[in-house]
Amino acid sequence: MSVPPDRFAGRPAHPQAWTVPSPAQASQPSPGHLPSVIYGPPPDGAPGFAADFTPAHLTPAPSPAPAPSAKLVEKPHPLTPLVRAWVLVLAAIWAIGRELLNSTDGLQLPPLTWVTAGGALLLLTLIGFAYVDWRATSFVVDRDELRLESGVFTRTSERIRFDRIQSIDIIEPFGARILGLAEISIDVGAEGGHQLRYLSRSRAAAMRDYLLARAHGVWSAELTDRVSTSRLDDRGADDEVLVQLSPQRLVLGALLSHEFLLATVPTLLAVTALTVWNPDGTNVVGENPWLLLGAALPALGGLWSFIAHRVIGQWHYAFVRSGHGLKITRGLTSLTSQSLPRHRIQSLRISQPLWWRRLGLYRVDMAVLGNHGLTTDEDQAGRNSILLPVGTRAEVDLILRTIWPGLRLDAIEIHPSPARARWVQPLSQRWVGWGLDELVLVTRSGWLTRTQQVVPHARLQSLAMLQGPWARRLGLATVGVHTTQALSMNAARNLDASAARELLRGEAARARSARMEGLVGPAS
Amino acid sequence: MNQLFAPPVGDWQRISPAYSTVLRVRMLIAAALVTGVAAAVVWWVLGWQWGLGALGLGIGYAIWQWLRIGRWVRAWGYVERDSDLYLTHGLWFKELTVIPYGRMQAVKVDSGPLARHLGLANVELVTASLQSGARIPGLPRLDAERLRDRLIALGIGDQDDL
Repeated sequence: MSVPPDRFAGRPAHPQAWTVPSPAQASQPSPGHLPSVIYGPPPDGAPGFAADFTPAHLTPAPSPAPAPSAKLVEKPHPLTPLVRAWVLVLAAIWAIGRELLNSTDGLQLPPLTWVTAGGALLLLTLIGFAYVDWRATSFVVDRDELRLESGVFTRTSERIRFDRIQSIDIIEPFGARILGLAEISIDVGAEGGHQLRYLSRSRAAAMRDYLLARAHGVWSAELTDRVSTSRLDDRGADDEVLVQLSPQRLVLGALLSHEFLLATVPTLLAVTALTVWNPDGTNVVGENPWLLLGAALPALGGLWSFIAHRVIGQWHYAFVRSGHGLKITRGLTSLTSQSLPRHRIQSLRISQPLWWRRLGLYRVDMAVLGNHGLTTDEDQAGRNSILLPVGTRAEVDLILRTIWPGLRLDAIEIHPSPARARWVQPLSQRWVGWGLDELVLVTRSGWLTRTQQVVPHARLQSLAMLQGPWARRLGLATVGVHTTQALSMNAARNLDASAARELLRGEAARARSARMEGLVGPAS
Repeated sequence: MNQLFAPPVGDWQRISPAYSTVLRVRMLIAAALVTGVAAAVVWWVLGWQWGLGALGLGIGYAIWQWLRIGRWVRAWGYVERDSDLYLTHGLWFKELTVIPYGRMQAVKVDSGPLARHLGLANVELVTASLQSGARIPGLPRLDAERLRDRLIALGIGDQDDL
């Protein structure tokens, strides 16, 4: 394909040359160079648009060479249909394989001609459908919106304004990962989000960076392919890794977590009891070994989902600062790269299960606006409330400081519950308390798992003081802290009643002034 | 009313005492249904003495609730301040809620058939948080509309980002 030299005027040739077809060719995808970016003709009805983004001193003299045109068209990778079909392919292989293995006299084949003809026809139809669908799907970057065009019979066009983009994640489900493809998921704050399926890994990363730049109001005419350092993660050469977790730590944390112990210990006890139990001289298990499986099976299901979420899903966890913000990359079978919209984080929860205390490990969860389905679909959707699966105090502090600059959790003085509160919280008395500085409100609760919730004053929705009959007798009260997308109930529990009232009034005032500052300065 | 749940300024604005009628009718219907079914079953299974006992229990509960509803309605109160709304309710489990106007996303007014007949309406303040739960029941309709208009007027000028 020839490249008209004047089209590239003023732009250095990129090592990964993209097809730059002449307008006549623009509608024809060229299979040899896919995925490709097609510089379409300048949009109609936007005269003088080129001058909007070309600095005045760079505006070329009247020459036929246009400035970079406004439109980028990205096509999905041609292997996209395969990603959706890989389960089918596996199933077919498995079925045929089983047939071959089981039958003693070889596979009984129907007449060869029929098989060939039928198979060929089916294959052709599928390829045809896939091609038509692929033709119909395109991702168009326009002047101030991204359009996702898809559908053959029912045309769908999703429009996403750049200034509405909240965060962009890259997800590589297992099937796509095998083929080196990735999905881009764009969160605009509403339910669902928008997906671009599928681009090659490097294109997806480039697209993500490009869209994020546009969302930040930075105009650039082209996508720049980024060199990723490894297939195992989504990190560019210029990314700065702030926190990285070793697999050992992840496994250790999982082994000592309550969920894991709850799933294994009772089952092990039951199995042991069954094995040892000799009611009348005969061993029950010896008679019927399947009993063991029956006892273990329910636990195994829970255990598997736990391992999938907390170990496999968090594998290679890294908290990364890259060009336009923060992101988290993780996952063993399916890789997720989640961009972190700092200003949309409503609250954080730092928790520490009993057995992590000695090791000084913590887990951090976040409540993000628009982050629906927290924790329910950690595995597939990639959206995830876990900010740090298991980290040391230093790592927790680093992440907190990165998200909310100026936050010093250690420096916040914690006011414990009065001694008489022991009657209502005998086990958590030593932990429960609250504290605040000019930026955040911290509350502590829990006895088996000690948690600390951190809410910036500016993110507070409303407050409530509660007092039950028992607390009234003791002169205590609880102040509930209401935020959007709460992770769990957040409250400063069992304060001295007058302190509770003071906190309620003071916090309402602080929340108000913090919001007022937030309206002027940038929301941190 | 103890000092802890005293209003921040002035006095609580109370909801209409007529709201207790709504609650009492609702309570009586529910109590009659539950007591009737339970008493019938107990009568059938254990004999008429037990049935009468169950009936007595139900009637006792209804009387206790009847008295309690009056106090419960009197315990409701709200105060509109310059930038936020204070709300209190509850007898055993007392609650005092503060809702800044800047956080309000919508104000809803609704009223059921019985409440409408009595000229009452409920006002609900919707914030982005599900826990806020700010609902003032049983306001006289004019008060409800005035409160709604006032909240909307205050909220619009004071809308905050999330």
